[in-house]
Amino acid sequence: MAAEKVMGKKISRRKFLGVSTAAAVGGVVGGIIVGAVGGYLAGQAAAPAATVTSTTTKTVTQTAAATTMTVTQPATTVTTTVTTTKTVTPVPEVGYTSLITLNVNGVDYALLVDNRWSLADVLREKLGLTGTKTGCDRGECGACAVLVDGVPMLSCMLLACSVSGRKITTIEGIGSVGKLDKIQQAFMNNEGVQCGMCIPGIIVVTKALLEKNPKPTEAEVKEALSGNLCKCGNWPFIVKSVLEAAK
Amino acid sequence: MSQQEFRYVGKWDGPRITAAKILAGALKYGWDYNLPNQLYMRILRSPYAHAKVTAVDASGALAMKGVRDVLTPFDFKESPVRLAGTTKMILPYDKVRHPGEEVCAVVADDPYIAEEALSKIKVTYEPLPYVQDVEEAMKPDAPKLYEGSNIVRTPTTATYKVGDTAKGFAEADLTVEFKLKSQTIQHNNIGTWACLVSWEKDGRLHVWTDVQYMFGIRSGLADALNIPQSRICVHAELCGGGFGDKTGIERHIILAAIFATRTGRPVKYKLTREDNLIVGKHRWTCVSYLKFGLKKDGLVTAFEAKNYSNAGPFYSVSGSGIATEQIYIYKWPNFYIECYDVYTNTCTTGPLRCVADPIGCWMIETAMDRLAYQLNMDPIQFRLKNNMFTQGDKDPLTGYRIPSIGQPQCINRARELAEWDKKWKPWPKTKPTSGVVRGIGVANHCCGHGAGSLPNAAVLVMNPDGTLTIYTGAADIGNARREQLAIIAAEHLGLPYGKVTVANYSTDTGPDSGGTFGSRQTKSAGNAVGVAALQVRDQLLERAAARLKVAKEDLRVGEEKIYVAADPSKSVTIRELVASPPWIIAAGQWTPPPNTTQRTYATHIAEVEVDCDTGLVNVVRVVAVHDIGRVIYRKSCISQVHGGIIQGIGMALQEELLFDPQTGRCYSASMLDHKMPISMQTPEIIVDFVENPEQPPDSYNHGAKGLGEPPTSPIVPAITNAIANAIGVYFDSLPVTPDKILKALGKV
Repeated sequence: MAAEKVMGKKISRRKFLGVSTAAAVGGVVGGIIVGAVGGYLAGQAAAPAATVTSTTTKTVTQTAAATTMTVTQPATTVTTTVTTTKTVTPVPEVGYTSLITLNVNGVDYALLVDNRWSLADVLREKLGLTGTKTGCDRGECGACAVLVDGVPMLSCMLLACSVSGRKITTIEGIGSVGKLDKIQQAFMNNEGVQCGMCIPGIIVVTKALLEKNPKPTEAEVKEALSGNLCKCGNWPFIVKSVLEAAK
Repeated sequence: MSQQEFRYVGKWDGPRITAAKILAGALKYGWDYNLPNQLYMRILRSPYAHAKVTAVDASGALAMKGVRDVLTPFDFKESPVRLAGTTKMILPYDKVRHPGEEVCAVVADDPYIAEEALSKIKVTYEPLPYVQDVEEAMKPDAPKLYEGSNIVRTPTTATYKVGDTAKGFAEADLTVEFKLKSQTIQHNNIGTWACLVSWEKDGRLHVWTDVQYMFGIRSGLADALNIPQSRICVHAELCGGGFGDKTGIERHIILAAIFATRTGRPVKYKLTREDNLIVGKHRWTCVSYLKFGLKKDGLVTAFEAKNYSNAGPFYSVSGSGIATEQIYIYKWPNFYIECYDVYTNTCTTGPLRCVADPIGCWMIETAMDRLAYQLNMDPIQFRLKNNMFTQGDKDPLTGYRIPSIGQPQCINRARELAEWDKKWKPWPKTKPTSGVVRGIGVANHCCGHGAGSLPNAAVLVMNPDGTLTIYTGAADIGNARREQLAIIAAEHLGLPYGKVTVANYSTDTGPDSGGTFGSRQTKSAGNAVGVAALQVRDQLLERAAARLKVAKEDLRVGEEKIYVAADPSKSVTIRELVASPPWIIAAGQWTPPPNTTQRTYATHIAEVEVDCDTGLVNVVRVVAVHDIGRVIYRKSCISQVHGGIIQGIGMALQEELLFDPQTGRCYSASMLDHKMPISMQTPEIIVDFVENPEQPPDSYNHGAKGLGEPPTSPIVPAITNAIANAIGVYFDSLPVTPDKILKALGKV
């Protein structure tokens, strides 16, 4: 992968967090990948290259110091077929910035990003996808989970420049207010939400869980979600919602 | 009104109005708002627990490209401003009083530049001796945080006395004494507190933030900036977890507002996780000395307690600790409680899902269990023996009648649901040495709430199509506030639930109805909505009476219509009555009736497994029965209880904020160290409600009391009592961590 040649492998600032959470007390990573260790989805880290068809191409330019986003080619109707292994042009390092491409929820973006920016920050601050929540910015709470090539990962622990060319699915890509996914619908029917801050991360991890294990047991659901923290403590209804979505 | 007569109260079962937006990631919290040209703020914090700030050199930061402005404590020396109701200054130019205290703030075009700029600010500190232990801080030679003593509240203002304890102890067969210590806990909301502040085109300061009390932010900002309250608008669509942490104005919002004023650009800020844990509000440490006089048959004849609350560096909430509402569970003939609140160099204190009840409940219900243990008596029998308050009883301190008491019903129902009589076994005679042992524990709880002096207000507007909009400044913090209020109004007016909408929340879209804290909004805003709904109902009846040419008294409210009682075929729809002006607009305000505090009651029973080899405790099953007057929106009532229980597991077993005695710094400020319970720790939870038949006085919300805070409290002693039932050891401090258990079992 071109991006990896330049930038090195996936950067995870706290790989050691990815330990298994068999013991109930203390583990917080659970079903989400931080780096490529632990959890039930570990084997999925090297996902096969997926063919992605997108219908729009947007180019977003920015400078390291500017916070405004300029969409220079808004929503054209160009149809491109990209694969995660071929899309990336070599990444030029311009000072502290990198030119990257991301396919987010089916839309291709070309972005000049500050190398220090996490994927979570780029999604939220540059692309306006604020559905991905950042509860801790240090890989502890799971609220920022997104799917990277179908694998749930903590977007606060990934540098944006390290995921160039990848296919990212955020909560916005799972369902919208008018067209909820069946997981979201199950949460809605079963009082799965209290304050809601942890919910996008939980839905994303649930999505990955049900792709891999469509009929999980209650214990499997609890283990898969053990890397997502919920301070409202709404777990009984969250677990009920996931089990209903799996019906 | 009996349950059967309600259309929606306790029966409506649909989803929350906000759920779809939250689930799609479309609902915005403070950190999700962005404006063009916004600046990012970062705050420099003190590494010392106690130090003078002698000089600040910010030139290095200001020279950085992208840095727009810096504020230092000395910017406020000319005109010091304190945060309303506290001893907190915006930036402390005299000295810092706790580790992590705000010293300087910087804004830059980019968050990373702002972060880097902090390292370029040179602050000269003169470290001072500090004190963090509450009992040490009371000594005359302890380091002082302010001029004069560290004791901020003394027993002259905080004693609770009933009967004659000397006489009570003389009557006792045995006297039991012990010392208990609770821990410091932070709320640790998933959403750390964020804000975006901007002067907008309407010439007003707009604040988008997560907050439990928007009007508290507005008045605090108006005071600090010296501008009229009407020139500020605070928006809070939802709050990423509150639990008491986001109750009022804090420094970072004022700092962001000052920067917005100075730079003319929007300013965005969010507390980092570490900062949130260190500088947010905290449930404080209490140390209590308790003494009980006891008859051999189990009757408590006297109770004395001295309580020392660690109030932290700024005094905001009185930390009465043991002298909580718990004294309204058992009719003790003689008791005397002294409370001291003491300044220390630790962290800001404040409510965490109730002010002091979780602490007091653990202390008193642990004590009751220990007394039962002394007599080898069934803990429920012991509690029943000690004359619990029942319907019609009077407040022993004031003499006024307490309305609506459901404690006896709670304990009886919980006992039945938990199969207590079958499951409870006496404490083991010898400590177990290995394997997994089981235990069961019980605890009662009483909580009084309503934060009476705060306003309770709502405006109801009938729309021309027969729908109703509720405008109120009561924030929704994830507790289904919108749904509860809509159900209350729909029930009064015969409107289908879906035809009642609650307007989005900002200080512009409704009157101040106090904060969403203190388990108060179903009661407070709920009663205000009820008062207004009855006014609307009255106007509808008047219009219908004129239209149908019958007396008002002969009319009844039906489903979206008003009909004649004697002849239901004669009716007029609500839509017809409101289709043209004058509009029906009603403002409701509610004042709690004097000389009554409405209290809610609860009993929790917990079953635990203790692994004697690892010291790990697994909470297996919890039965929770709450007396809440009336269930309005059943689903959310149940989820509140679930959440309270899971938070209580954290308090009982694992959460604690720790300070290093060598440096004074906090060393457990992460979600890994100050760890909340995870999904895998969820026990089986059985929830039931006692709906008290007595309608509380002046109630317009169908008789509902509060439920937000109570579920967090009784679970804690229920768990620790269950652990004691399993291994025969009571612990003097919280949390009961594996190391404490292994030590008690002689394993380490």
